[in-house]
Amino acid sequence: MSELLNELKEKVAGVLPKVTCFIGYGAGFDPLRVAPVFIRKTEDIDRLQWNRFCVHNLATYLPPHKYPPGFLFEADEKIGILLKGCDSRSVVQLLQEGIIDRRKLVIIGLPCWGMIDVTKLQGRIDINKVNRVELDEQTIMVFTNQAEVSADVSELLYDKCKACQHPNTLIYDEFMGEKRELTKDIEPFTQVSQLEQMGLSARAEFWDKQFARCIRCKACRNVCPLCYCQNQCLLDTRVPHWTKERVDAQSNRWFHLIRAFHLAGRCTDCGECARVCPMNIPINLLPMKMNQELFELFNWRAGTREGEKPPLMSFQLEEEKIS
Amino acid sequence: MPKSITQDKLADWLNRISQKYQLWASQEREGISLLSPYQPEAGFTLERIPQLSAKGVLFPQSECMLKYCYKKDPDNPEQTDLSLEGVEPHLKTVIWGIPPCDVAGINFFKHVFTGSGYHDPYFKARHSECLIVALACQQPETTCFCTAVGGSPVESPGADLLLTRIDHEYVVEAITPKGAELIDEDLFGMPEEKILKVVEQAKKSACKSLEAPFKLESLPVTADKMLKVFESPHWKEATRACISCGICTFICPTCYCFNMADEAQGMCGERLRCWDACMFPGYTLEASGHNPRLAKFQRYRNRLSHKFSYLITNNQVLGCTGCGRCIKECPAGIDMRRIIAHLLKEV
Repeated sequence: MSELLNELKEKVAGVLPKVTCFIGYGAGFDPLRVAPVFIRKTEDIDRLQWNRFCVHNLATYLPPHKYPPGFLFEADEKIGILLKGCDSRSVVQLLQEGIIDRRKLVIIGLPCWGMIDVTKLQGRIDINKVNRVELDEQTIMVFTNQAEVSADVSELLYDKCKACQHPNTLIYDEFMGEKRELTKDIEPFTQVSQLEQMGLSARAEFWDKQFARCIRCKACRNVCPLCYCQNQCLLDTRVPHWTKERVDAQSNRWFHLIRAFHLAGRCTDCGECARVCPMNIPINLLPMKMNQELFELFNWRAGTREGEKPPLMSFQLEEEKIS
Repeated sequence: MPKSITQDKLADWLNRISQKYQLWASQEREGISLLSPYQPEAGFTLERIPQLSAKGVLFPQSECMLKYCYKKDPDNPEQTDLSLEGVEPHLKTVIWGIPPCDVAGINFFKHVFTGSGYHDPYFKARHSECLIVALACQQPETTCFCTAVGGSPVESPGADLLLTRIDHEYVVEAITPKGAELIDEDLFGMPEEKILKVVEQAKKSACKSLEAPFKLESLPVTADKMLKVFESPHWKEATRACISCGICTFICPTCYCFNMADEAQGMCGERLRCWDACMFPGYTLEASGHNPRLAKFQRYRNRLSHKFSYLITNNQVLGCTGCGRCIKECPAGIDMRRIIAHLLKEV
């Protein structure tokens, strides 16, 4: 990890003269978290971090539709960015949708061994009181003033990391470290399949409980690199009045279902929507269901095949699996 | 004199309170602790600071202010009558087991909603019928900073009762006579002298364990300093990662901005007051299409300046209780403590 961090800093030092800003990870508020950083000066390169907590999908800062020129970057800025395999899928999809310009992007790629979901430590230790962490490839030791706990890193990985099929950045200008080989085949939609085994009424009850907690902070939508409709979003328009102002399970359900439909064949499974949810709603499962449909119909997984046209952006006169 | 109650009798106590009052207590729901209407079968938790602040009890996220109905006269279609119906949501309420920073949030709401200017009848009615049972925080979280904004983790002015946990026992101090009425004699005992000493000790060490991330001078000086850094480039620099969601405002114990909307079904409907968030781009969008706070750094600057400057000037009160939720839950890892500390050093 620390070797990779040193290499990253060297690479960024090499990239920085070619770009105006490099987006990477820096220190967070405690030893279990990192935060996105925007490096503009050589002296800031030392702020960069690379560890098992770098979960944020930095591609969300790229669509100019989300952040109009002048508000995050200027229109003519060339940006450098660090992308994990999963995050690079978002960039591929954004390129296929014609939303971002590859010529204005310098991508540093790397192999990823999975990120630690710190919430999986909750129950073993109070994750909001952690003041020290020791981490090696296999084991994590976490300390508070009152307690300490050690755990296998592999147990704590995000579910998306456990089902990872793209551990290496898919498109890049520079790659650091050795590419990671996957040793086993993984069923990518396990969580959706498990939910579907529940039966209709149990599933309805499951989702009603989830949607009842939603406070409509819009974090799931805003963090999504593919949700770039800005104020045209159904959640923000008053005319037409797609969603009620009243925040309740019923109107929350419509918002989340419509959003999932809008992400069909576009969602790249980064899971950021579920990670940021302050109410712990596994909201990524809805777009994941759509992804499963698209996979079964068109053998399509968004963002994995650069240069191809996404199925919902084109058509064939005869579709093999649609009659 | 303080009383005490053992852990195993808390459920009995809550059951009794819930027979006389609408009772709110924290419940473990899907991995988070949420202040919810108490149900005996769902239990309660005191292990963590509730995910959302207690403001939603007195200032619900969606509140019906009135109901209306239009009625057409069948004999004279040009004539439409309007009938209005008020809502009286007022129940005797107990909010139980909340941290002192959330009580401070309710105290703050008193300034804004029942202070010198406008009196909000909805908040006022709810608040006047509400009793608050606070729980002293003995092991503050890494994001806590109540002592830096004039609060205390272990004292709770504004509450009616204060609980302090010592092992399996809770020492209960009545802060108001109304609070004392919640203490049912048969469930409570007298704490031993040595327990009271332990309480004092625990309170002292809790305060010590909180590190002040910044030091505020008097409120007017703070207000003035924050005005002086209005043009600081740091606002833009520090908020680049912000995704303009509403987490920080919705989970904040003091953010009180709201929007109003009429929701109609056919000829009838309700007028709603719903939480709004100054971090949403649409918050300041004007009918002309102009938006004076289009950039996210402008919105963030407004949010912090409101809390650390404008509120001091207008209401003589600081708009932050140091609960740290906005830091803990920010998807982009923005730490307002660092931003305030940085800005105060600029002047």
